[in-house]
Amino acid sequence: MGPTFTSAARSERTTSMLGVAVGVLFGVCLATGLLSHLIQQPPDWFAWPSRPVWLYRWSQGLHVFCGIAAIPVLLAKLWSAYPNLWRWPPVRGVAHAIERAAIVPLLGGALLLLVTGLMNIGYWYGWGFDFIRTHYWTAWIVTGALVVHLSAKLPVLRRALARQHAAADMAGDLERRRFLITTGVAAGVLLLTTAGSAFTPLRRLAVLSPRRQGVGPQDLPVNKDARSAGVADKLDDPGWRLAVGGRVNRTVRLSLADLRARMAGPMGHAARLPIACVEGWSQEAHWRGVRLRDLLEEVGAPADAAVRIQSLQRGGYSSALLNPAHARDPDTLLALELNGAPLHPDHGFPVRLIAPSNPGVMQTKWLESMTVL
Amino acid sequence: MSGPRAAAEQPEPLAGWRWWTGLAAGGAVGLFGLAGLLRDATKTMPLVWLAWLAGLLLVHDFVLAPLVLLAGRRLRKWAPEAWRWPIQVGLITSGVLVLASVPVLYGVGRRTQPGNASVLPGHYPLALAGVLLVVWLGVLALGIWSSTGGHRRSSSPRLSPAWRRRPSRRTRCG
Repeated sequence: MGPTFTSAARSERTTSMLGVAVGVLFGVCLATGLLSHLIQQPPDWFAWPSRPVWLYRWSQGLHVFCGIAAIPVLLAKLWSAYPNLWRWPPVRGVAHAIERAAIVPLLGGALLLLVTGLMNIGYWYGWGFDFIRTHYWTAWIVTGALVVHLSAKLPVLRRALARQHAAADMAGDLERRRFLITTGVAAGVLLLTTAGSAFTPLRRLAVLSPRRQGVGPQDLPVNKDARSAGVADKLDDPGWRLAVGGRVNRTVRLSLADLRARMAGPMGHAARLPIACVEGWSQEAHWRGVRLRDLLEEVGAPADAAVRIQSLQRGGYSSALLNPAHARDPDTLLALELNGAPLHPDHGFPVRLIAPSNPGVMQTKWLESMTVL
Repeated sequence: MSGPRAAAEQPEPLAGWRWWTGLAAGGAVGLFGLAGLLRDATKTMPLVWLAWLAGLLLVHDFVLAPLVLLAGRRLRKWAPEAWRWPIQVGLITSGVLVLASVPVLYGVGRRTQPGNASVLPGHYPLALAGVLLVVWLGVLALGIWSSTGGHRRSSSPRLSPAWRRRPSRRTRCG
């Protein structure tokens, strides 16, 4: 025997509507999460385009902010289905036992995804396990459990969302409507106070976001600063050169003065491009530097070449692979200036890569070398 | 035992090709994920992962959910009819905001990213207090509107009779 549940807001219809909402939000998170994973670890068959410029920014923004919006919606869904936890008898046969057992990875996994995601964007790595790998595999487990759950609940969903059901219970209708509105208000206030770290019109309202647009050196947030990346001491080295090699006709080693001379000449180019972090925040900025395409032509790189970009930084995220579409995009820059001034050390001085529609972790800073592949 | 509402619902029939196909497909995807998690064990730490998964489930089912139910029950006893929903909106929104703000309130990110002033740049306790103040001003406005009869004028005629007919002394949990 468990507690009694008598709220009129709780019904099959409420649970079904919230279930559909959770399904949509988690579906968007799965699609955008897989996309981001493919972009960063591309298999042979996958070629991420460099246009439109805003595509990665929007995709990853949707990932993080659908995840945030899912917090109240999932909790509301669980509230409406909570009496089932106490249903007696607990199982009615093998199939029912399987269906109920699938709820453990479904619900535990869904909570884990939301909690680890929320902690990760707040730079709180308090779990012990690696975030990316664990978040990724848990997403597959939750997806599998969700398919099992859906195939069990599809008849219920169909019955509960049918039109004639709507007229059956008017008192319940009002209560349900109020409960759904409440859930929507909670999700809305949460989004209003966080989504401005990516969505510029709301930037002044993003008071609960771990990042603010316009806050950081040169009015742009920084993911990894020069000191914690271990490169702060290497940046003043007068002997620094950018080495360009690999599948080229001639290898070159460019000093900062060489790069500045090219920026002042016909290779010079400026572009408004966003930095779009995997953690959801993004901000557009004005970049100026040397057009990568022109430099690749100067050294005689083949037109279909991919380029490996290496940073002075060592360890994780210290290099990135630029696919041919990004390497040849007219706006892909070896940037020397940000918002009208030389790059701040935390933004990648002496020179950084900036390409359209790529994750921030692939916009390598503090360049050391480029290898044409 | 479930309430009368839940008892009236028929159990879903777990049979037919849709159920078995779904079980096979979902099971395969889930096992693919589990196999990946175990293959990457040095990074995913499956036992720690399991402890988090089970812990979150238990905390939700036996701490958070009962607290919410208890709060709902108290609210139904204590709050006047017209104020019940506005207060419900306020409590649920506030609870969600506080839960979702735990990482920024705790602020450990400032210590994991020393020297990066753009990480957690806000004064989050103050910001949260401000947001909650706005939410509860909204609750106040909604409550005043609702207790002066605004909801009756605006709710659709189809709903109004049922709204008035509903017994008000029923104790129900939120």
